[in-house]
Amino acid sequence: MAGRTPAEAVQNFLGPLQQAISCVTRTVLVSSGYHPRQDEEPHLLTLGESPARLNSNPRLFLSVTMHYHVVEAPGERGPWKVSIAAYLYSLDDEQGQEILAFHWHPRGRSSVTSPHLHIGPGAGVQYQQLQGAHIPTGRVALEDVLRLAIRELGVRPLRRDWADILDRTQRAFEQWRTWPAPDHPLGP
Amino acid sequence: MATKATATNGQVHYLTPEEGRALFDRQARRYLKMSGDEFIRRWDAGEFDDNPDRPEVMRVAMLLPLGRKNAR
Repeated sequence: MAGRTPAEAVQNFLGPLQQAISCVTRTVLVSSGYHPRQDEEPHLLTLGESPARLNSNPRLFLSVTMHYHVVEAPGERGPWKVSIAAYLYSLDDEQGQEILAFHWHPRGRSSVTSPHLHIGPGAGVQYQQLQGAHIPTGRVALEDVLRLAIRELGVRPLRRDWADILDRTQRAFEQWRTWPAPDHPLGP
Repeated sequence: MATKATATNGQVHYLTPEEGRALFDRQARRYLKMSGDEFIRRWDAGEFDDNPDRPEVMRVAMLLPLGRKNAR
């Protein structure tokens, strides 16, 4: 997301994410800031109350953490933009056991640096080798996970216009992201 | 809870460094039963390198930018 200032770029990035989050929980995003950093440490955003309890039966709990950089960018993507550097989206059961987790952490200590999915013990999958396996995915948007939670996992949305909001905020995200590009095979 | 933000107008709450470290410490205690400082010490010593993908380790590790003293 672009902005005339670093603060505006971050607000343009976080605002739609907050809207998307509001489809399933009243908790709000918290962020470490918007100042460009010289030390390559990322900023991050996460949920103010994490994991956030979702409106579902059985109960599900959502965790979201994203790393991002605020960088200068040329052309219409600038003069300032937010570049996502890592993400973690997960859904847990009521016992705190992870059911699903979508990860991308290219600079972490894990040997797997491409986007992937974990099937956790909360999913109750019997095939032992899946525990801890890194199942390849494309880049996953937060909206994809929220839509999955609502459409497939029985989470009741908190607003009637949830589908429109998720479509709109995801479209905006995909318009500005640099990978995969919109015409990439993994793109929309 | 310092980070229990309640804004609903699309505004996002920016954490102060102190709030960030408190959030990091709280999550380290929640997921790993240790303080944030202890997690950083053990992380830097490589004590989680055998399986950094453990869900509870990854969740705290992703919050490390909040926990470092030079955060911000």
